Amino acid sequence: MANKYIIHGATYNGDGTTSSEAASNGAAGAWNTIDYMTGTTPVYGAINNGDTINIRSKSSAGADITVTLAANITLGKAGATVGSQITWRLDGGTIWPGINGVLTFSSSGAYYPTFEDFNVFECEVQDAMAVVNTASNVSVVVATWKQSTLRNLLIDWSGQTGTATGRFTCGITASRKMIGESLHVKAGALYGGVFYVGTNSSGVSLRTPDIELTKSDTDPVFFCSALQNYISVFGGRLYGLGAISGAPLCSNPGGARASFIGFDFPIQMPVCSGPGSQYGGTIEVFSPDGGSGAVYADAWGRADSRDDGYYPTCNAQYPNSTASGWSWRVYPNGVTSRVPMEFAFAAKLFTDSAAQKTLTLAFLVSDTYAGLSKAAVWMDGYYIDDTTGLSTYFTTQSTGALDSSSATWSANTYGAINLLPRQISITTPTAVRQDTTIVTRFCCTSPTVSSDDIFFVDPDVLIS
Amino acid sequence: MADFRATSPEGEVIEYTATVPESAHLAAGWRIEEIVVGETLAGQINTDPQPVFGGRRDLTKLEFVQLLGEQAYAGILAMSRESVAVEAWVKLIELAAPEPGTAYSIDLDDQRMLPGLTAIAAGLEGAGVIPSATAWVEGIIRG
Repeated sequence: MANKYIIHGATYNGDGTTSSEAASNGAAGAWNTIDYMTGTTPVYGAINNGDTINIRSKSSAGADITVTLAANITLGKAGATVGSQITWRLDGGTIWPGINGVLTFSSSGAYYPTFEDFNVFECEVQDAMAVVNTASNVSVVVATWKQSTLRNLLIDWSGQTGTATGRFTCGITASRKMIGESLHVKAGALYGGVFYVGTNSSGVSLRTPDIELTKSDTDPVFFCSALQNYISVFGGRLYGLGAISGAPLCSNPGGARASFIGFDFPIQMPVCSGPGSQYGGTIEVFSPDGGSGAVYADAWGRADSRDDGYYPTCNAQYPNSTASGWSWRVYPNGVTSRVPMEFAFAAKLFTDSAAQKTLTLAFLVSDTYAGLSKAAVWMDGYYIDDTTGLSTYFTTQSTGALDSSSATWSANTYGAINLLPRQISITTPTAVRQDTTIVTRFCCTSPTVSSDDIFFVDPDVLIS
Repeated sequence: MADFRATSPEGEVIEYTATVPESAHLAAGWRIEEIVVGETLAGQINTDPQPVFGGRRDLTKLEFVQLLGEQAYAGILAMSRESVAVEAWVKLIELAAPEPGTAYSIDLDDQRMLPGLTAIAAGLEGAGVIPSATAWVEGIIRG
């Protein structure tokens, strides 16, 4: 493990071992070509697993470095391992004071770079290492991401404003994990998605990404085309014209699992364009709104509690400084009798003395949502029996019309949708043990006909 | 000698070959780039998505089912129970006979292949069996 150095364009090609220009070919000093980053074997010295290759961000002549692609190329060196990775670090002034340039891999056509397995690519200054594609009228892969780590890089195809499309392909073969830290993506038109995960059991993990969608599109931001894909995003944001024009955050959950924690994206962006398949994929979002909102998508549909949705609320209050109300908007657009909605939306700690208790769930339902009854909409859950100490299941599923509710909601309309107040109640057959948790699920098997067929569910199940 | 591209503060681009950049192009407001042509070098790994069967366009029925994918194949069979058109497509695959002297019954370049897959793909995507009709069809046509 050693530090190596590149000063592109230096007069002599050193052995890579020092940050100064070599006095002669093969002498101690920096290598003099960026080609060593794109697969060429050094003439003098070597790149070994575990090495960090520091790259001066301007050439010896003082210019930014732009690598123009005349074919697909691979960035990094093959043969590194998970325990001994090779790091390519673009310096921003620490090693070469006052030198703060840009290294760009540029394509105007269908050629793209691939980030090699177990190589780390980082730049000291955000966006100083960039992959840019300016192709027009041809769908392109902007870059391919194998099992490598990218830090502070810019991936940019925002110049594609016409019919040309681009994507960042993640994973060439199965079982790859791509890691991005402070990745900046400026996407133009999309070719399947921004992050296109195309192989089984591969996934992308991003920390504080900055993703700008510069053009309206219908393709998702995160596309998973295979089973067992996973997306994990922590922090960061998504914005731009494309983020408010209806494109979904993810492809429909099939066999993939996506988790977004603290990733800010506008409410105009649905988490997916449709329900998932029956193969177990889910999308889980916490705090997309800078607050305490959440989103959940499954095979049965999706639910969200975004603060900026300004949904009708009933009893539930956040423990914030204003005790603001909140509720779940539920859209079960994927339910069937074989794929019921079983939305575990509430868990309440019971602290009173042990006793049989009545649980009451209040909700609003649009007046266009047909086919509802106690057989198609019910509450189930479990409580801890005081006598046995065992988890005891309960359900309200039965027959007959849903019960009306006299609960007070902040509103009985949402936009042009008229909402009807309803409730579901059940008395536990045995006593609930003190200081145990009652968990409830909101269930439904009645298919929706339009996007107006929604519920607003009060998370504060009353215990009386 | 190296290739340089200088962009003025007004956006005018000048390209030239020289030992060093012109001093004026190193002034504030100018952007000077040293252009390097990146090329595929011998020994670099080909990272293009590879056809599954080495580029062969004629397939056996089982190889074709492999290309469809397990979930899509099940989805097609489910759709065939509700759609005569899908059932007919499945029957065509079943009835296709191998080319004389070969074991291959399926031609990825058959002019009916793309329209048929495209129609099927729309149904599969709508049913949530596949995330993207476009990507699924593209992968099959690639072979």
